Amino acid sequence: MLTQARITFRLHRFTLLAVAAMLLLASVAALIVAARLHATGATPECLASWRGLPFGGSATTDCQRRASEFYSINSAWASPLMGAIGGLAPLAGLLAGAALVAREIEDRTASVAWSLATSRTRWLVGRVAPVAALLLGLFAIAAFSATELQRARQPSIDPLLSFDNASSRGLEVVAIGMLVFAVAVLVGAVLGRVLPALITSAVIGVLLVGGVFISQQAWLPSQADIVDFRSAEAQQGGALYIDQVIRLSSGELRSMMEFQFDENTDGTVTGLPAGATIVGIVVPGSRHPFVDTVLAAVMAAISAALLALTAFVVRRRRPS
Amino acid sequence: MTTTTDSPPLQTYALSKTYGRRFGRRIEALRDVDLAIPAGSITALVGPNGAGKSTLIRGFIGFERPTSGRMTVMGEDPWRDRGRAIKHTGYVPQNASLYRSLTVAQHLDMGASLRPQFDRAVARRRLEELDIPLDRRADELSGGQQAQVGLALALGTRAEVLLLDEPLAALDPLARREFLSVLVSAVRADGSTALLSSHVITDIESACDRLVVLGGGRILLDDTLAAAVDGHRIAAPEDPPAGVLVATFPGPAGKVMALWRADDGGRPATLDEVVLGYLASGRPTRSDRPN
Repeated sequence: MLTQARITFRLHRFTLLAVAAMLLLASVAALIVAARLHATGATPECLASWRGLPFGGSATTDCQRRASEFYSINSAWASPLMGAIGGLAPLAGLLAGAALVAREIEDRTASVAWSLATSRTRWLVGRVAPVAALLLGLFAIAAFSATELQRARQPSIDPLLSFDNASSRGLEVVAIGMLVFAVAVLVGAVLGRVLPALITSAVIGVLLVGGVFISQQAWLPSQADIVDFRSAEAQQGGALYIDQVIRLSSGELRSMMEFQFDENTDGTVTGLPAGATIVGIVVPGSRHPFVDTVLAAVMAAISAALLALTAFVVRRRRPS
Repeated sequence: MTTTTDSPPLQTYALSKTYGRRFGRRIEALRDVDLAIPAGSITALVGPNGAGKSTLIRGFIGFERPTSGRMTVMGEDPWRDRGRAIKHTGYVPQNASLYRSLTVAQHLDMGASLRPQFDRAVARRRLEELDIPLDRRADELSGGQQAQVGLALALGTRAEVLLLDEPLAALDPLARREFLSVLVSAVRADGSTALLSSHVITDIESACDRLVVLGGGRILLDDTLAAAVDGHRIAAPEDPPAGVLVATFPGPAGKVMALWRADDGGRPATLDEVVLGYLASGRPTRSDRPN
């Protein structure tokens, strides 16, 4: 297996080097930007008071300077970097996965390898496992860096208990990257050509990841709490807001579209039936670890199924 | 080297292979092929492009699934029991198909990691005898050297059966001669069985002891090389010897020649003429051309 791993790294060294450089650079950049955000010295209290300035709040001159610098770095560097890490993981999975089997079929080297291999599945494992292990490591570094960046961007909220930018950090980055990798390996094995595999995998990857997130949207309400719209719980940072609805005095939930009402400047609402209140359907940030784990587990299961399907394809496929 | 069965090392039973059925077009690469390659022989598989040579060889290595019929390698079905059948085979594909960025030594490492019984020392010794540097990358080798590395990988498997799919096609005459010399000495030394497809009749004559002529997916001739030459005569169609006409075909200077299965009359046929005659006999007629 070690020999196979060495050969795999040798065969795909340029792609893997590019992918590793891309992810490591983004990770290092995220940590540097996080350090710069910390270095502004803008405390959570200072940032809160700065945000309150347009609404009559007050902040010291020093706080205003620090907060201004903080948000300047945040918008210029931290936000784009956060998005980039979210996009780089699937891109890395795509680039590393599409060529893994497809190039050997395209270059006809699969003829030699498969004529020597007593088990094509073992050959496939020798190709996929080292690259998957490398990607897992790289994705984990990127996920950690992005989480630290998120911690620096929102110092008052624990990123592990927050849904903010969840798909660009933590377990989701790793799971999305590995899912796209598995799609690309399978499509490469089916098509046997690198460029068509890259294009097709990109399309299927987007549809599949999108499909998983759409399914998640259908599942999330089961994890949500119904909370008063103006309660502290509803305003809690890191929570995932799903919807706002009207709760009638009977406890029945109705869509806001069904009522004509006005929200007054003093916070009261007129026009709703007696006893009715506006409530939020909110998944508290404390449930993020569970939701994140379930999502990652679903993606991991799909990835494993796709790789098993790849083994089936490779066992039955012509080498060229 | 021992064989695991008394049956011929390579055998097919009413083997047919059809391509392209799903798209409405059918190309019959092999049609009801019954073949038995005896142990210890070096058999030449000859035929025009599209005759089904590669399909047959790739079937034996488990790369093609028979449409109907059966094939066995040392008694094992290479499609159903690929893992077991492949242990008995060494394969040299067209154009060596080496990993360009790997060195020769890394190819041998790969062979050893994929095939537990791979004998690295044997492969290494053969390459060293040919002065092929083990630390050289495959894309830095000449075509002849690449073919030799491909052959060394196949020989390193110490398999009972060697399958060679037109390995000589891209080689110059000297490289072809060298390749065949290594092949013949290895097969004779190991007592293995080889099936070699080729277009070059002179190479076959020097290396092989059996001849299978394939045309239009059917076997047109299957005999020892000596019997194939001794049992055929060339005579003008209007002056037939006592025998069976195989086919007429254009000879030098546009003269029509006729190949007869006969022991006397006319003049002895050369191997080239035997092959040409049988290929001419197997030319598809309008009714049996693929759609």
